[in-house]
Parts: sequence; C-alpha cells; structure tokens
Amino acid sequence: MLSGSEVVLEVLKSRGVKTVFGLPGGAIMPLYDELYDETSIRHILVRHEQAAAHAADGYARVTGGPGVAIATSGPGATNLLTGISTAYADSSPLIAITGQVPVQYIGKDAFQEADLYSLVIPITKHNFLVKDVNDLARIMNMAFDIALSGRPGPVHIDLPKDVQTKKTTRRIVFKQFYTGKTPILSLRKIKQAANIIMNAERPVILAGGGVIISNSSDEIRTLAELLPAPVVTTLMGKGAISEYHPLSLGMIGMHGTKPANYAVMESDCLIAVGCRFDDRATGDEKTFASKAKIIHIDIDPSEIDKNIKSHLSIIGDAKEVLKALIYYMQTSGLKKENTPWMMRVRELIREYPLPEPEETHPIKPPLIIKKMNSILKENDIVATEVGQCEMWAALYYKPRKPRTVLFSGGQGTMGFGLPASIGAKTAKPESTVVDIAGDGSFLMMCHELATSVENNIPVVVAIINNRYLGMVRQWQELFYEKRYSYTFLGEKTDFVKLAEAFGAKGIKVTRCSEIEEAFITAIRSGETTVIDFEVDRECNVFPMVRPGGQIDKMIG
Amino acid sequence: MPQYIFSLIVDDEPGVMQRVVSIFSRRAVNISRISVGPSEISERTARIILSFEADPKKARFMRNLLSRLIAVKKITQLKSDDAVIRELVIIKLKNHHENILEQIKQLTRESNVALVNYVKGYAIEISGPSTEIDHILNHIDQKYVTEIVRSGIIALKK
Repeated sequence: MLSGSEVVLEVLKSRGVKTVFGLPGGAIMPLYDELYDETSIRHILVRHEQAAAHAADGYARVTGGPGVAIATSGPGATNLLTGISTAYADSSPLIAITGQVPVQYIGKDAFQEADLYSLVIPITKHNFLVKDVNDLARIMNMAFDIALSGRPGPVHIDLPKDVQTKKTTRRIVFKQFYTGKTPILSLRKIKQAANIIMNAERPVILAGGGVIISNSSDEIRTLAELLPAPVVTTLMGKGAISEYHPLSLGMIGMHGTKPANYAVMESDCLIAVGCRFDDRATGDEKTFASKAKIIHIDIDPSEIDKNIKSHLSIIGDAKEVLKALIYYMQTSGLKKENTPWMMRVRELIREYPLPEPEETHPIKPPLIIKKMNSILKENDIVATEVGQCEMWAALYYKPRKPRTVLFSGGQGTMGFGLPASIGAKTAKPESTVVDIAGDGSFLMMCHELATSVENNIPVVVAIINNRYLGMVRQWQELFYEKRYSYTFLGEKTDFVKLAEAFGAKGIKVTRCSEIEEAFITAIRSGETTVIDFEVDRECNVFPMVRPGGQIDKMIG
Repeated sequence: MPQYIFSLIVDDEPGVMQRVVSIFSRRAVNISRISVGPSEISERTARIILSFEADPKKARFMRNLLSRLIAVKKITQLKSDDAVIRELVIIKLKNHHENILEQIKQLTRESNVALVNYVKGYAIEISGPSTEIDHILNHIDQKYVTEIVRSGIIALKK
C-alpha cells in the first residue's frame, strides 16, 4: 500500500504533471523525501514561496494545464497567499500543496502552524484539509478536476505531515471525481444574440481572458471576419487575436488605445466574450458602451450584470458559444456588408495611432517595447511586472498568439513577472521569455534570479529603470499636485552588479541605439540576463482615462 | 429592501458555514437569520436556511456566487406565498409567573402562531411565521419574561 506522499506523486504523474515549483520545510519533508527519488517530475527550487505560486501560475497560463506549487506549513504557506490570490483573480488553474502540522497538533498553535484552511477560502475555487490518508487520492484528483473545470481557479490542499507518511489501507482509484457544474447552452439565446448581432450596424467584439482560457482565438477571428467587426481586448484578453490583424484595435480601458476605446463607445452592439468588465476596463460604468446592446458571454453566471448590465447573456464555454453563433449566422445567410462601419474603423486606426516614441536621450520607455516587436518571434513569451512597465507593454507590445503574454491583471501583483517568466520558460524552453519589469516591481522578487540561474532556466529581464514607483508617481503628478510622496527609490541600486551577484549577466543600456543589440546579446547568450534600461524618469503612460472617467475622454 | 430566503443543500463538513457566510460578508450583506441541520438527502449533506435583505440585483448576485461554491449542491429560493416558513421561540418566565400564559394563548388564537409546548411555570414554546411572532412578542408583558430565544427560520417549499 502507498504512503500519502506516494499517493500525491502518483496522482501528479497520472495528471501529466512534469514540473512542480516549491521550497521544502519541516512539515512537508516526507513529500520532499519522496520527490528525491522521483525521476519523472522536475522540481524547481525557488527562493521564496510566493515565487513558487507565481511560477506555477505562469506555467499554467502558457500551457493551459495545471501549475503545481509546494510549500511547507505556517510562513511557507502564508507566503503562497499572494500568489494564490493572483491566480484566483486571473482564473488560473494553480494547485497549491502545503504541509501542515500533524493532525493531532492542529489547532494547538504548534510550531509553524497557520490556519491555511480558513485563510485560503476567499482566494481559492476550493480547498481541502486532508485528515485521512485514504481520502487523499480522491481529494488530489478532485483538486485537479475543480481547478481545470468551468472557470478555472486555484485549489489548495493542506497536507498534515503524518498524512504524508501514513499508508493507505484501501486501494487507490484514479478517475474523474468532479465534472464541474456544466451549463447547458441555450439555443434560444444563441438565436436571439445572432439576430441582434446581424441587425447591428456597428458591432464590436470585446475579447477577455476567457477567450484565452477556452482556446477560442480562432473562433474570435472567424466571427470578426464574418461580420466584419473590429476586435478589442481587455488586458487579460491580449493575444486573443493577433494584433497585426487588420481588425485588431488593441486594448480598451484606462490605458487602452484610442481606436479601441472609441470603437466601444461608438458601437451599437458589443459582443463581450469571457470578460468581467473590470473598472480599469470600463471606466465610468454608466457611460460605458452606452449606445450598444451588450451581449455578455461567460461561463460564470455570477459575472453577468455584476458590473455592467447586459441586454442578453449567454452562459457557457466561450468556444462552444462562439461556434454556435458562427454556425447560426452562416446558415441564416449573413450579408457580409458593413462598409460605413469598416470605413470608420479604418479611419480610427489611421487617425489615432499610439504616440510614436522618439529616439531621444534619455530613452523613452515605449521605444524599448516597440523594438521588442521586431526582435521577438510569434512563439516567444512576454511576462510583465506591474505598473507603468505593464501598461507600456500592454499598449506597445503586439502579441501574435494567445498564451504568449502574461500579466497580473486582477490583482496587479508587483513581483509577478520574474517568477511567472521562470514558470513560462520551464513550460516552453524553446521560446525566448522576457520579463518587462519596472525597477520597483523587480526588486520585490529579484532573488528569483538565483532560481533562474541555478536551475538553468534562462530568462531576460528588461528593467525599465526610472528610479521611481512609476505609476504611483504618474498619479501623484496628475492628481496630487506633483507631491511625490515616497515614490522615489534612490539611485544607488546597481542592477548590473545585482545580476552578476546571482550569476546572471547584466547589461546597462543608456542609449536608444543600444536597445536592439542588448536584447539580441541577451537572447543569444542563452543565459539569464538583466538589461538595465536607464530611461526618462518622468515619462508617463499615455493615453490615459481618469479613474472612473468616461473611456473616450482620454488624456494624452 | 425585499427579504430573500435561500435553502441550500451543502456538504456537511468543517468550514462549510465559513464558505457560505464569507460570500455575504465580503459583499457587506447581513444574514438576518440562519439555521442549519442535517438533510434527508444523505448523511454527508446538510441543509442551510438563511434569509437576508437585498435589492433584487444583489440577491441574484448572491445566488450566483453561492452556486459557484463546490460545497453547495443545490439552491432553492423560498417565497412566503409558496413556502412554509417557521420560527421557533422559547420564552423563559420570570419567577414562575403564569399570568402571561393566558395572554399568549389569546394572541396565538388570533394568529398563525402555534403554542407548541408549555413547561409548567417555566417556559413557553411558540412556533410560526417570523412577522407574527414579532407581533406576539411586542404585545406580551415584558415584566413576566427573563429571556427570549428565537431559532432563526426553517422553511420548506410547498
């Protein structure tokens, strides 16, 4: 009969898990002892548990499969919380396994005991405390089924130390234990939606993260070309359509592109797929797409009418709904004429391009991102930290494929980018992975350079170094009379030396002419490289909508 | 704001109340009454009856959020016109006063509230719809009463 630790590994293997991220400690030692001899699972040792969660999350985002993070009890487990919360906000299937004190010590304030069961309830899709080793196989399998079904999300398993060592007394059965609460597609609503769409004069498709999760990029493109309708995305929806496609207008929202925001506001029919109408995307809810009939397609009924009232909602998997919509419209003879709207869309693209960054000194940050478009290939992956760097990336980086751009969207977790890059690179070793970082965010997880170097997972960290907590400074400049309260980070931190201290390469770039060369050197070297871009310190992210403002009233 | 009553079938396991309650507390919705008991469906499930005040949009949102919980198996919304809704009240009497008994008997005769038990000289148990119980409690003489315990509601779709 198997021990609890053996059961965990057997389930991981049966679920096709090849890589796990973690850091051992007292209460998880039996599981780690079992991992020691395990040849078919690669364990990536991180330097802080939060990084294990972000890396597993990044792994899950680029593969669509589950990402697994392991930590010990108490502080090891609480260090995972930010990562779990990040995964929850962005619907990422993260399996977090933590050690717990032995069952007989639970609740007695034992050494390194924390009540993880209660702590994770609001930030997981579901969570378990395993008290009997005979339940473990069922729970582990359920965890995978729950994390991956419907709207994906993180699942936490709290695993007491004695449960890891005890032997099962029953044979373990591997099967699917939870099939999810599968919604039944309403054909009546499909027909209603199709009729609204076909009668619309100015349709716009809004693709959210759900499009990426349900792998329905092809359907989005087909629908867009069929109508025709322009496609705008949310931050999480970036990559849902190639941004080189003539119908792609980029991202909407506070730092959206002008063509995208204008198109939404002018639209008479907004087809919103797998998005949750976050306040950063909609601005003022009352004026958002006020001329449009909104058709909201989502697998999670609780998203319907939560933030924006829809005219018609369809509950279901985005791919299935879109396929049904396309089929219905094709068979009912859709006229493919929409010239005035298409002319307007082309006019928007022509009239309102993004501000062109000039090749000046000091470097304007958007220039760095712009140059990356020609350096990176379609399968290469970009992850970002949070703040200005993220928004410049969202505005100027043009992904060609889904699952090639990773943002911490819902939570905006600083420190996400580097560990997520490591997770992504582990999953896709043949792709170049670049973390677009700010100097502030990077320092939150900079020690993960050690993880990258020591495990030979080479990533490129491009630091847009403006010596500020840039986004906060931008808000202070615009809304707080330039009172830069505690946003200046000082000038002494030497990122090149810091990189070298971890055994990574460090490159300092101060001139526009050196940008491309630095990237190419970094990518060709096959080593973890930190590029420290010294940039214009007070460059702002524009265009911008005031918080809570109407999204077609943009600054810059 | 209108009152909503949900009947939930949930997994009977530690923490399930926390999951349900945190859905409400996170959205600043107050649960006015809640009761839990075993369900007839299986040994591993329990039934939670809870009521809260909210606008219709918020109530729909709460229902959808509850439906996301893995531990919640079934949600039924109960409306006063097609459900039996009951609250049990035990009134503890001061100094074994029985003067109040006749008064309560009279009040129950005029309403849907039933006098279900009388522990001689010590306590009176009544059961009925919450609003009518409110009415009775407002009309009895407080000087004969030391303590009143209300159960929260249980309810059943007709």
